[in-house]
Amino acid sequence: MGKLYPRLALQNIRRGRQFYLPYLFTVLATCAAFYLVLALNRPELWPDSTRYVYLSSFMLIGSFVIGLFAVIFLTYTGRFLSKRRQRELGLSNILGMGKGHIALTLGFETLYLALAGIGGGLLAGMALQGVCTALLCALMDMPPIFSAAPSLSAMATTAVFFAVILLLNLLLDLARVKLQKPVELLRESAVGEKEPKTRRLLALVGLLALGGGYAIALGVASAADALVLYFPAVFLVILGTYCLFTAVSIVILKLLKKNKSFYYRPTHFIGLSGMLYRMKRNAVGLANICVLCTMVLVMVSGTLTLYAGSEALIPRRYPGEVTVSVTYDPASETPLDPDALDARFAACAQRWGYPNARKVGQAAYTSLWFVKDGDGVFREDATGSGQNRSYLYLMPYETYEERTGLSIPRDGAAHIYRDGGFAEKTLTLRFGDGAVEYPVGEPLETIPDVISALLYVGSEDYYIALPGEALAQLSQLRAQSGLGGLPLNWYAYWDLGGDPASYATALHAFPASDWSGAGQFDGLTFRDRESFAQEYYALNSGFFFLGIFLGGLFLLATVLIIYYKQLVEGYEDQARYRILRSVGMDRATIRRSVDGQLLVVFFAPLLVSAVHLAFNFPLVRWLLSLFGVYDLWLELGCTLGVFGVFLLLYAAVYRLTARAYYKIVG
Amino acid sequence: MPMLEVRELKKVYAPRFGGSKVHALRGVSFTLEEGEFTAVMGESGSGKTTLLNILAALDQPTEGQVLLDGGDLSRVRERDLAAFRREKLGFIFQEFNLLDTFSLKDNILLPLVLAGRRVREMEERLLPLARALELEELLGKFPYEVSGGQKQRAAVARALITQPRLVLADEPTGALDSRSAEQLLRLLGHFNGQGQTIVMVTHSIQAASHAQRVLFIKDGAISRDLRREGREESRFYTAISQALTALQAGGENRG
Repeated sequence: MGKLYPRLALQNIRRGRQFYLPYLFTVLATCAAFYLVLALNRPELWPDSTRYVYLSSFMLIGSFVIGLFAVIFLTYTGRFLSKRRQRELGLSNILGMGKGHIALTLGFETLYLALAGIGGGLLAGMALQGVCTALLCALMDMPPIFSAAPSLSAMATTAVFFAVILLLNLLLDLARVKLQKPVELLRESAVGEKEPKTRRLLALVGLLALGGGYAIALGVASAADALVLYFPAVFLVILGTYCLFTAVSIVILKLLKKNKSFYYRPTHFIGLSGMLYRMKRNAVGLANICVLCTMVLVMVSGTLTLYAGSEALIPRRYPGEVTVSVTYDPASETPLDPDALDARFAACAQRWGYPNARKVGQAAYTSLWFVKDGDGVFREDATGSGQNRSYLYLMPYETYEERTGLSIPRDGAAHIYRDGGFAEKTLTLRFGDGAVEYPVGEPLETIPDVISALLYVGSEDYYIALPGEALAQLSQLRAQSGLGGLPLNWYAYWDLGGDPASYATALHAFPASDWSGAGQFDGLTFRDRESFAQEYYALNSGFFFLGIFLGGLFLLATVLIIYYKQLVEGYEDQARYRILRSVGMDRATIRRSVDGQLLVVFFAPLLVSAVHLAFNFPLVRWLLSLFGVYDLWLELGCTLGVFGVFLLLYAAVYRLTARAYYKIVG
Repeated sequence: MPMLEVRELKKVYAPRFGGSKVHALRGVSFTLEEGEFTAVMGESGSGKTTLLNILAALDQPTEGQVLLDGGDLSRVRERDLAAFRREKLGFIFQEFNLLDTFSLKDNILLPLVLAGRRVREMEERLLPLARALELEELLGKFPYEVSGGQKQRAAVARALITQPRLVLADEPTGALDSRSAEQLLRLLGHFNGQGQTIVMVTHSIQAASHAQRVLFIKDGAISRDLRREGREESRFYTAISQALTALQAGGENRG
């Protein structure tokens, strides 16, 4: 007797393996994923502390997301599995199995699934740990020098976390069994779903939500807005997707049904009525699939673009191997003497073992917050919190010309670049009570590389090229108003001609040299491209890794939802197709009708996802500009590429699922 | 020429894992004239359902032939079988076998839709049939919204809408209460009166008493062929009942 329940549980699992195996696989995969992010988040294994900071926070985010996902998704699939079994449990109850016995059986089932799922997941996680660390190192552009040793604490956390989830699922199951009387249990799955009513309100809400989400995506005009509005837009689009799939799909199907010469055709007849019959459930399923598909696509394409774009950003931001920067006041009595500073740097470089140091470029600009006082009138706002603020980049003509390779007529006018253009004839800048007005000349064609590679803020940014004397004049005006002279940043870009890996240490020693005699300046700083690149790769590859990782997990969820949906419908349709054959429907027609239904189930959500992705595109472009990436072709290529790969995977899932479905109904 | 001719039908099931073979039919022969309403009676396991399945071309006989209008059923090619069943035969099942995803109207139209008929033709055929079966008010309803008797009437309409040569009914009253059963049998009698040929397998003497002829089947063979010959329903009922008793007694004697 004592061995009955374990055996019964094992038998149940084996008999329902079509349903339990995918569930087991889900437990296993989420468990492995959870272990991996925990195991990778261990400071003691990472050699380099700056890079670790990003990675650690990404892995932390990852473990939260995966944990949340595991709770939601395992509960969802668990509930789905137990719903299917209500009848069987009711029957056992009627046949004399007490609720305690049922609980024991279910308990053993959970125990087996937990042992296999969590144990297998941990093993899989450990097996993949090496691959993942290697991948991460490769993405971060550094040698695989850190250990992939299994983490005991990560294993323990994972095991406990998933055991708790499965235990909670078991308790939910038991509560459901306890609440129902045997007869109710038996009836549960036999209730027919009524043909849904057209729901105008729902359609309207859906339309408004989706329209709102799309409008935000199209209307956003700055990266800052995009950052703030991104999640509200996502929320609206998800809401809209659910409402519309429910309401609009019913409207469409009803219209098709009304069209008699379309409806009363062998292939349409069966599929259409079948879809209409279970549309409510179907619609939620389709919306789930659609939302998950969109998430995968957005996540992977966004992080991929970011990663691929970092390569192009680095040389724009660091035109030379080393950047020397100072801040100076152009109106001071002895302003910075660039040539003298360059000579001092060359001497210093030589002393530290870089005799071939060569200057490759320079730039000067400043950026300040202004408030718009009227058309073409700006007042500096140092308090930094007002509405209606704009960021003004001021640079001499020479910097624009050198950094873009374009030329500006020496007309003494202000030349301006702004998203959407600058319509005013004059530009007035105010500092306190003083003001100066410039005529506005030909607009600038583009933004200088070193500025565009900074964090891009938005459409209320103005890039203004002025004559060199004008900047000194502005500085005087600003000083008179009590704000101090204009803090002009000056940069020199150098190639040292040595081993880039040695620069970081060498630059540390540079400030101790003699820098006197080059005029008045402060904030002397040295940065090297190599260190920046490494840090930048660490940031973006962490993002990308997480993107692929979570993308893969959500893909798994999508596949599982589709698979279960078709499996359940297959069993529901089994009897229907038997009747159809008995009244004279041949196999070829059945096949065509099934094909039609499956195509809709698979590709309607994908189509909507593609539209979502298209509207997401401009929004993500703004977000990427925050990281200095704005290469339209790269972004387009990455998005389309990810969509293409996704399409292939999706088609493979379609084939597998279709085969399982035919096997059931055929 | 008889409309349906069954010649020396034998059906042997060989068990999958050895053991003795099961003889479901041991040589059944009979003929049906056009317009006959025939009931087939017999106990469970007597071979009734096997016979019906073979008549419906759902199953192949081990030996023997079934000729419909002189044509051999076994000669119909596999790929034409579905169309053959759809056009020549109508089916009524004990469990109705209506599709719960369709309204009654669409359930009835199903065979015509599968045959690719035009919408106008479908509706022209539907209306008189729905009227005769008192389904006019119910056409828009779904199977789960109507009673068993109403479902079975819809199933009858589905069987008749293709104007089949032969209607095969398998225990059509098996799942109905006595009032609905009586109504259904009267309707079958009515369509038979208009010339529809019907073969009905049944357990129920009441059901059989509505037929013109009753074939008793026992141990895979026809043991008796009882004709109504103008008798009233109640007298035919008595005759069937007596025949059954005699048959069972005979079985006991032999056993």
